[in-house]
Amino acid sequence: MEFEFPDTGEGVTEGKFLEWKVDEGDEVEEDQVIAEAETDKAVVEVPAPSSGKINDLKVSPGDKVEVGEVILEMEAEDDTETEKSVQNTQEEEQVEVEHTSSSGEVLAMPRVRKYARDNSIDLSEIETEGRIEMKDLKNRDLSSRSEEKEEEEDFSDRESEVNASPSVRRYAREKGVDIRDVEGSGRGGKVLREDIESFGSAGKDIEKETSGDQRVELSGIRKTIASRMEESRFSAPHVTHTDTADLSELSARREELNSGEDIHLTYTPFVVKATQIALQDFPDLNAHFDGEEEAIYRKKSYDFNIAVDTDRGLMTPLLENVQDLSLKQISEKESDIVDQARNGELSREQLEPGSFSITNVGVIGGEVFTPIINPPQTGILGIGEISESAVAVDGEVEVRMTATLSLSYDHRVIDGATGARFMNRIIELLENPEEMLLEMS
Amino acid sequence: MVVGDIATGTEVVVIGGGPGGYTAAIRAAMKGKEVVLVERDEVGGTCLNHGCIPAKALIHAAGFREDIDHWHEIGIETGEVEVDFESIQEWKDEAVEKLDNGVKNVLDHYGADLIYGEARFIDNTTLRVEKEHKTEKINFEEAIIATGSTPVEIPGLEFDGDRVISSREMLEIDHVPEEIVVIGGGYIGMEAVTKFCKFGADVKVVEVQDRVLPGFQEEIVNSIQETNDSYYGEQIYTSTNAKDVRYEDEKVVVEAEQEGKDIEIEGDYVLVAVGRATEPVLDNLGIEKTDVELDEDGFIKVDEKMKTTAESIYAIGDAVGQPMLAHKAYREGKVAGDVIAGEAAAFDNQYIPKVMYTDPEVATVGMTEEEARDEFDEVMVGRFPFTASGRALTVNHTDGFFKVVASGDEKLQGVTIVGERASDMIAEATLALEMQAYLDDIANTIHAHPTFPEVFADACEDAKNESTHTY
Repeated sequence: MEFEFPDTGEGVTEGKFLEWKVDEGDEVEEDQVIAEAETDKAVVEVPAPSSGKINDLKVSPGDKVEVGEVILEMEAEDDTETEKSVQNTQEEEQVEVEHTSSSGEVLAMPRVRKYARDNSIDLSEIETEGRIEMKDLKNRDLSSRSEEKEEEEDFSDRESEVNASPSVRRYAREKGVDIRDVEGSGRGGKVLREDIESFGSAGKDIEKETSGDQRVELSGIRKTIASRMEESRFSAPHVTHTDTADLSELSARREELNSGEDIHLTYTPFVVKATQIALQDFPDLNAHFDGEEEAIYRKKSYDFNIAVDTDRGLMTPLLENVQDLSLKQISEKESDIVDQARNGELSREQLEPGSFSITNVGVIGGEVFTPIINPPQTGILGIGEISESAVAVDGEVEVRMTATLSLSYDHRVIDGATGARFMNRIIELLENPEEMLLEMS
Repeated sequence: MVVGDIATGTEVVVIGGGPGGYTAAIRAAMKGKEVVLVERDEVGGTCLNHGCIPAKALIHAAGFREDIDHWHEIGIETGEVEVDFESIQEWKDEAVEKLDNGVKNVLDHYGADLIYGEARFIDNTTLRVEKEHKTEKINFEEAIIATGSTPVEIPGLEFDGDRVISSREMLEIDHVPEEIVVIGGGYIGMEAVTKFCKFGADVKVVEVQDRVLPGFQEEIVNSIQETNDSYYGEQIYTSTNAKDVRYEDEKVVVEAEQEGKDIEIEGDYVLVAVGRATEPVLDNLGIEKTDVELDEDGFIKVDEKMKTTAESIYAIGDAVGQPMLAHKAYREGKVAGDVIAGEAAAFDNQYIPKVMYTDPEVATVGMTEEEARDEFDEVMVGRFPFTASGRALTVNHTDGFFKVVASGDEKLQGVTIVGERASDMIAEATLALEMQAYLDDIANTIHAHPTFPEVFADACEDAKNESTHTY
């Protein structure tokens, strides 16, 4: 049987193949991890579709693989069952939506039906809203084909279905615009010269002469970070509120705790805990905001995304159910997810957006910064460097242990006063560790 | 390297000087590239020297001859008409020569270097050209393969260059034979029928399928057969398989099987016109030394920039696939030339017209009515007979019809023309299709009167039931 690179969901269509964990000729068990690949969401482990013998590895580490591309051939112990297991369950669920008319028929023009027939495509498997168009079939074609086959398609299928006159087609090529992406304003959707012009100016500038500059294509993870940050920065109006917390007392308490048992607590578990306790009074900050629905979903548990610096880029794995965790458990779990993130072992579920985010840049250095909200969350707390500084206490200058906290929140749903009160509460907890520990029990 | 090889270098080498090749060479040279064009025979290729051009010259002469028989209908008495076939051939050869020289002049004008010889790839950037007395090695940055195709042979009826011949030799014949057997009722075969019947030969057609011109719509074939039967009464053997050939005195006898029965068909010449293939040409080219790949039908795989699977090699014309038509090769040659010169060209054509010089002429572009009904829920069809055309009546050629097919939204989808000057009129239809025209775009454009192309506007009106000339 042929095994295809599985759909990991979330609209992931391609990934970078990292490593084979098996060799040709190896016997494998069903669900045994046989390979690792990096998608734009995460590093994913690829399980064997069934028990059997590996015949032929079709891709090599470093290759780009598309969802649906055959990555290995194997002799399965039970072929009929495995066929089923390869099938993407998600896809199965989504069949039978939208594109059927009230009478249950598939909506498509005769020529679309003909194309489907000629290319052995089952129209009932096409996911689209309303009538199935030619482009849906072609898109499906591309996504279900291996890169090599796709190239072949390019070579054989030179006929294009472009609704534009020849000069406009050429103009589009000169502007670096794929005319199939342009919505035409002419009769029957005909693409006019002006359509290319307005599309070109809205789109990217293609003329990029690299005069000896090094061009580095973004990794999948980097692309995801880029688009998510862009989305957040330009959809959520950020306000960043900063304040300083005096951690002298907490520092003393921490040393006390660390000297006792065989544990070593950093400051982070304390900040995490303080934030969680503070959030109990500010449910709109432990929430997801849906701008389209104009609704806030207040989360019932406190699941924090913790920013981790890895050599692949920023990862924000989940630290779940903070409300149920002790400081020690938070410390252990945090250390686990940091290791997993750095080793590329996180699952897709571990990268889902939780209810709030915390980023601790202070371990590297710096005081005040503007954390970017992790959408659809409404807030993120940044921790600055924790260090000794001169503080006026009762008219005297004292050396105290302080940290600057930077809270960014989405002003669409959180007002300045709320933000300030929330910050005050966090600081109150951090400056009175006994109260915090009391809250925990 | 073979001892005695002379190594030269060029930016672009074009292999084959047919319509695709010489066009690509001229275009690349025009845009500033250093170009060498390698041709083993004569520039202009099959089309100019052994195909379209000489065939159309002879068809014109034949039509002219045939027209004379009808002059009395319009009041011109001619008396005895004599045909000096050798002189006709000389006139045809002159036309070909003029065109050949024209191509050479343009190549020269733009500084493209024409060399004669057989080319073979050594690798992805080197070509060896065997000339008459020496061998030359050419290092190139980019190559364009434009090697065309050759006629297909039938086992048992191999070409002998004398009596069993291809269309190439048929065009060079120095007299009008009494009897010709044409194997293959495709368009090359039927064009041969058209001209030799008009010169007075007895032409028999052998077609393996159940009708001639199997690639064309039935109504076209019916229209031609109607005309041809009434004019000449030639014999058409359909569902007939030609198997062998026997030489008897001055005659050639084709042994064939028609629906289980053995039959024999006799003639002075047997013209085998069953199609063209690229393999024999590509086999000699050494493409196995390059990264160029072929598809399952034996054509070179190219993308829309005409680039093959080898980074430095392009291919155009018959070598890259159907339809094997010079006008497709012209366009592909220009695309390859432009792309090599760094321009944003691509073979993005959606319509390639087909023209057949039968009597009456046939030209088609886009969808047939049947294809349109397969694609669209609603189809509009307009038809206009040349019997209702003022211009057709004034030249005494009223056979055939002009037919347009549109989708239900009135967008033009296809045109079929059978009749005088169909070959000229298909140009406007092709332009209309490429411009994504609707019926009104054509119907509301003023067409000069009295002309043949007016009929296009009439047919478009008819599709909307608005024709003022038919009902």
